[in-house]
Amino acid sequence: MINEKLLKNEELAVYRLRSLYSDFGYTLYKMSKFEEYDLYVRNKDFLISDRIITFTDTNGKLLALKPDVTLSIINNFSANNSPVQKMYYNENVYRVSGSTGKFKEIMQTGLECIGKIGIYEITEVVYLAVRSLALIDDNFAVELSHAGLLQSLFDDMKINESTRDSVSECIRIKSSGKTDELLSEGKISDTQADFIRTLYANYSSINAFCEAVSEFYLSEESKRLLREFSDIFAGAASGRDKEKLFVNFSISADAGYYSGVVFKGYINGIPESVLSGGQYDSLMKKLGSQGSAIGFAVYLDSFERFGVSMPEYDVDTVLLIGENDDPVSVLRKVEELREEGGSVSVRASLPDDIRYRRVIKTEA
Amino acid sequence: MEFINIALPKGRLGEKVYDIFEKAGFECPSIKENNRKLTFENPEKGVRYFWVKPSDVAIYVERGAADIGVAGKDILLEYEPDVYELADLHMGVCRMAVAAPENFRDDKSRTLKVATKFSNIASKYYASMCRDIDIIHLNGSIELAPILGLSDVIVDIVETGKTLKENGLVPFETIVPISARLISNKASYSFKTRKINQIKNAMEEYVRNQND
Repeated sequence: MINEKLLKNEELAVYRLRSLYSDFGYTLYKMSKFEEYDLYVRNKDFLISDRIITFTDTNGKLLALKPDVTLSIINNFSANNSPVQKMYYNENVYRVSGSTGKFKEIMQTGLECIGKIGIYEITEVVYLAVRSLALIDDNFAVELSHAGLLQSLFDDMKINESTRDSVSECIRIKSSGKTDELLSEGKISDTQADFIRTLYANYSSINAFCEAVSEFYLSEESKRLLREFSDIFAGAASGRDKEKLFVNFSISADAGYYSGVVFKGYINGIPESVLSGGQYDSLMKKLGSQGSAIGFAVYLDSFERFGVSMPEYDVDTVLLIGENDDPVSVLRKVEELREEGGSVSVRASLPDDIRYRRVIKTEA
Repeated sequence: MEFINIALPKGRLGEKVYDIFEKAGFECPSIKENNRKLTFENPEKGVRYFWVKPSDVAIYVERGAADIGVAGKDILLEYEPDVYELADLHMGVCRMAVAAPENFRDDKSRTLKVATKFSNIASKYYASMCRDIDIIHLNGSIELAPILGLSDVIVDIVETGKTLKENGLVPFETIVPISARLISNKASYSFKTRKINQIKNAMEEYVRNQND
């Protein structure tokens, strides 16, 4: 029997998430703490930061403390074992924190679905991302985008290769100022500026987004990807939390390795995203694996301070004992007090370092 | 009632920025009272303002202590906070430039010594030209560096160029134009989209009308 009151936010989240992923047939994947540094050098683009903690193994090989879990999972994927592999993990990763510029240990839970996956598997993973946040707190939001659709729309809008980076930046930071700047410099047309403004707006329903984007020319490929995106959105929103899903293309404007749906999750009260994921077929291809892959990670370190208030007391009772007290009768007294439902700290004198509700002295 | 927390940059620019919020319909009369309060609220409009050091606005917004704020483009380029940059307020307009003594001639066969408060912006600018530089990070009186031979050039904000001229320096190249930007925390934008957009649109409209 687990006393949930004793678990910290992140421990409780892991406990609940593991149950959810097991219920959907995902199996736990336990990996080693270290990975060959070479894997990360070859796939630097996939990593949030290229700064990695390295050390030399006893055989001279350069190893790294994992900055990421997904790369290791794909690297070890073999299509021979099973056409589709569904797994989840709970691991520590080591990354440079954006705000402090120092290395930080981050507890990360997530799942990956790899192999011959179709629209059902993709929708299932996005649905599980939504359910993951719902298990942690009711006041959440999930933003969805589609990297493949964004690239196809760029092609439809005939945005020059040379201005794509600037256009992506406009969308990524929702910058009306930069869009106006590109327009006044003649780097984009009025239609292209309207298109950028359409893409950086947030939409509370997939229909609103489809309607807005249908104002522009859409190729057959874009229409196909838009249908795919709509189906995934509708599937993920099929639970009771559909008003918590949004379309936000800012999240995929610079996610180089994503090829399909991309999503981020937020919990009201935590200032950064707590969940991030997407479909990354191009990475699979690069690592020589057949098929597709989709997954997400939940950053548990963000929950550490979420909704936590300091308990009024560290311990319910301080049991003061004397030098002549018999240990057996003291322990009997402790058990009696515990049975009453409180915690007990046995001390020879009143402690300064903890707060207590009451003090009881042994009769002796 | 859910408030939008707004970080304003202390100083003359901040007061002008507050005027835009006020004219856009998000006034908070208590902010103009002479007292020692640190935060100012108008529950009717759902806004809460507070003054912070201009270079700290982006930190308050990135970390979610403020939902939105106003920061200079120089700060955004230098610290690259993970925030949305919703609008250009076309105020505090100036430029980030390379300046040097009038008689300066760039010897490209040698490492260029660059004194600046904006190490990130300067490094990126010269990296884009594959130029080997030696960055000297200073926190103030940047103009002094080339005069005393500490550096060949400086990278700094140029508004009118008057300070440079007084010190015998001239701006040689513009790196990027600078102005005040309305920024938003990404998570806050997700939960308070409607209200934040309402403020953004009203401010943009006011600024547009002023500039027309």
